[in-house]
Amino acid sequence: MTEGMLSGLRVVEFGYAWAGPLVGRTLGDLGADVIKLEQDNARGGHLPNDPALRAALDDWRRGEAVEPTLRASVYPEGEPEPEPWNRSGIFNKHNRNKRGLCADLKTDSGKRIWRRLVERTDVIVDNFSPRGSKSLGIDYETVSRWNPRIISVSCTGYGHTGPFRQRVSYGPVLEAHAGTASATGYAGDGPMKMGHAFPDPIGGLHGSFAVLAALWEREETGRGCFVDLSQLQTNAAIAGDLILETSVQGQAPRRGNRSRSSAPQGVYRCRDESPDARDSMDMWIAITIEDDAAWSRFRQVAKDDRLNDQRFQTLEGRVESHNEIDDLISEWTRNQDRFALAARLQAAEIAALPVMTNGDLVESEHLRERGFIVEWDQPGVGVYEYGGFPIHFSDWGPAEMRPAPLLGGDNRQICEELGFSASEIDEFIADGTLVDTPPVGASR
Amino acid sequence: MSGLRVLDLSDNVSGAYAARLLATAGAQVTLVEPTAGSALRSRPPLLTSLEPKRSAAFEYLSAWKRGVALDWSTDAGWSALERLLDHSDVVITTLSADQALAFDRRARSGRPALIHVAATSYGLSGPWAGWRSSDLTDWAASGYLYITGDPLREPLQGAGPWASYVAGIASAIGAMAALHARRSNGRGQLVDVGAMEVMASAHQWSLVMWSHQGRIKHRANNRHAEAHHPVSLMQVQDGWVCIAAPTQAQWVNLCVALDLPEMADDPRFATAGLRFDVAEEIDGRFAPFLMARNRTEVVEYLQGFHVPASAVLSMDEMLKDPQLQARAFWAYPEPLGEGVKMPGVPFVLPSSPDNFNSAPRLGADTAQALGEAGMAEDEIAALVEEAVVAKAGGDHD
Repeated sequence: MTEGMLSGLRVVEFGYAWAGPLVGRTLGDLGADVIKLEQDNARGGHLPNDPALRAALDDWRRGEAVEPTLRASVYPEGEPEPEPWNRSGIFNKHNRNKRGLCADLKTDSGKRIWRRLVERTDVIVDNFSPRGSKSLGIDYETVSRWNPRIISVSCTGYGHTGPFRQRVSYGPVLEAHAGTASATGYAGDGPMKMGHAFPDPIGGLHGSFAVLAALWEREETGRGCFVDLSQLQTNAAIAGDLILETSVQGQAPRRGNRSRSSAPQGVYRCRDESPDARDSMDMWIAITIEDDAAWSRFRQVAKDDRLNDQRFQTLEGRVESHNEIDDLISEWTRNQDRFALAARLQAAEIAALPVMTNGDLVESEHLRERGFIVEWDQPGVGVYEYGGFPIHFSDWGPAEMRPAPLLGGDNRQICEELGFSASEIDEFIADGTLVDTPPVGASR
Repeated sequence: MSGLRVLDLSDNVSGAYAARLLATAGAQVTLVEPTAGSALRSRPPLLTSLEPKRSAAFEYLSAWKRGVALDWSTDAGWSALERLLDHSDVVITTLSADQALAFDRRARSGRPALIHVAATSYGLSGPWAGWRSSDLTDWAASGYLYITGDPLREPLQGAGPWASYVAGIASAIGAMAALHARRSNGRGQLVDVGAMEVMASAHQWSLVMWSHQGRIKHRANNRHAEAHHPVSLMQVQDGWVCIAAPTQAQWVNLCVALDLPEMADDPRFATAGLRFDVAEEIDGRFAPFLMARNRTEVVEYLQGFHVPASAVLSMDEMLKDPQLQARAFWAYPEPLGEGVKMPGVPFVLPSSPDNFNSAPRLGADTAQALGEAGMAEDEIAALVEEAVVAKAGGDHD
């Protein structure tokens, strides 16, 4: 086992969904000992005993239309059984490199476990609302009394103060609030949300940085701290240039895929493919012509006399005739393979790239050579591929990949480390504080 | 963090944002740009209403940084840069892969404790390492472009260079992790961050959807594919709102709130997945309620039922948002005009700076930074004479 960058660092992550778990995962990838603390219904539970659902599951196994309930959690091969809560591809991807503790913090036993956990932990990460964290006893006021060196990072939607502190949110809600959804869109059309809940990784990565910076400061001062991270703010932070522009001279109109400094730029249709053998799919290439010299190189590759039009030989002219040029480029790209075309254009030093699908990313020769596509043997699931850790260090790595924990899978080991005796642990199990299966009928 | 010294050699968003984050955490960051000015100073969006016009990207990304103007491609310039490197913990670059590796050999030779963070689009190795990129091709590489927008139209980029920003956050994480490692072993290292990989790791379920089920993720317009509804932008009387009710409890609350309790009991709508496949029908039944109310009414009403919702705010509206105002989020860069605002410190750490510092004028801190690095006044004067470095006018800088 390689010594991790953060070996010796102890983290408790009490996070739901994506942003909080991404903080835990990043620290775990870097070698910290991360305990994922969960409530018994955190991962959902048994599938409803619904004949229609069972029939749909059989359809899936025959390769027919996938039942959307099964689609949602990305079960391997669409098979949720026997333990759906341990088989979700999304959950397992978010929670590698962590150990699992599933405990009810509201019982007397749960409070004892929590206190000992706090006393031996460096960092707590959560994404509970201020009210939720107080009622669970995980708020900074409580935990810093027990461990003044503790660093508590709370990644909420809106933050712990301000008039909207009790509002509930998900990433797409924050994209709307931060103005970024209104800035994104096709020219002349309405706002557009991103294809995933983009504010979540923005918040989770900022949260990971916050932990490392707070730890650095603790080394200097000996004191821990509370970091009140609002994902509304971190999402606004990546739009600081657009916000400043708006403050000075108003919001720029939506511009689709065009550039504000060069032309032409666009996303052009290439030859369709059928990558998953289910349906024919639209494939595209993104091209940016950075300046006149790049335009000249582009014309040599495309070999279309119509592109030599005098009107197209200056930036102003190309901006003026952008639609016309787009039509000519589309005509040229339409029946070409997007990877081969990108390679040809790159050979002429033109910024061009296939518009990567999820399948392209996993199969990417480039990402594989970089060691980014990893696999691990997930208990109860088997060996599957996942995206790996994206930061490369010359003096360390690659990051070790340990599977995501089963629900409550490390309950006993963690409680032993906390100094509880075997009989005490048996008692915690008997009184329902420590569990490793969700309640019957639990749904998210 | 105040003891940490960071040299920012970036001329792209990724490295510049990494350095800005380190500055908001209290590190002393010195931006080194060519005497002709950083390429970031002409990066859009341009503030064309100001005289002279300035780049909003540069002004935002360079806040809290000191500014040195220095051409380090010359021998004399490199020697001066070496003095600065001698006094730095971290140096951040956004050079091409080849240049970054060459720079790394020179910069870290004889400086075993120096940490070099190289931010690029594709990373420093692999078949695409030397490929060209733009904001749009970064979106294409990220996998986000294909899944954003209208399924019947071309895929759509996000409005900003956000793949670069995300690479910047990862670069700052890399810098801090390397600093923690150096605390135990004394060694610096090269940290290699490519935007493509960081963005690929910032997908919710795309990659496992392929590896676990062999399925392609599609665009779904303003809905949340493949199996979540509603997590959508929806139209109301005066614009758009985002409503998100993927869980059973949220769905029931939403139906009750919209006075459509029968929908909560309808087995066709029983899961977020089933609802996605009949989203048109659901949205049609919600429309009369939503179109009779404005954004504020809808959002405050739904939040009262614990249903996640927000107005889709324009950036002008967001600048007046009471939440961000109450949390003292805004910084006021006075040189850009009275009342002009931009995001300040994204989250407050004990080491965050108390006061705001606007982006430096070209060469504003050249003399001071080189002086602190041990260079005598006459040496600096000679470099100015040879036009290797530039100082801003006025001794007060």
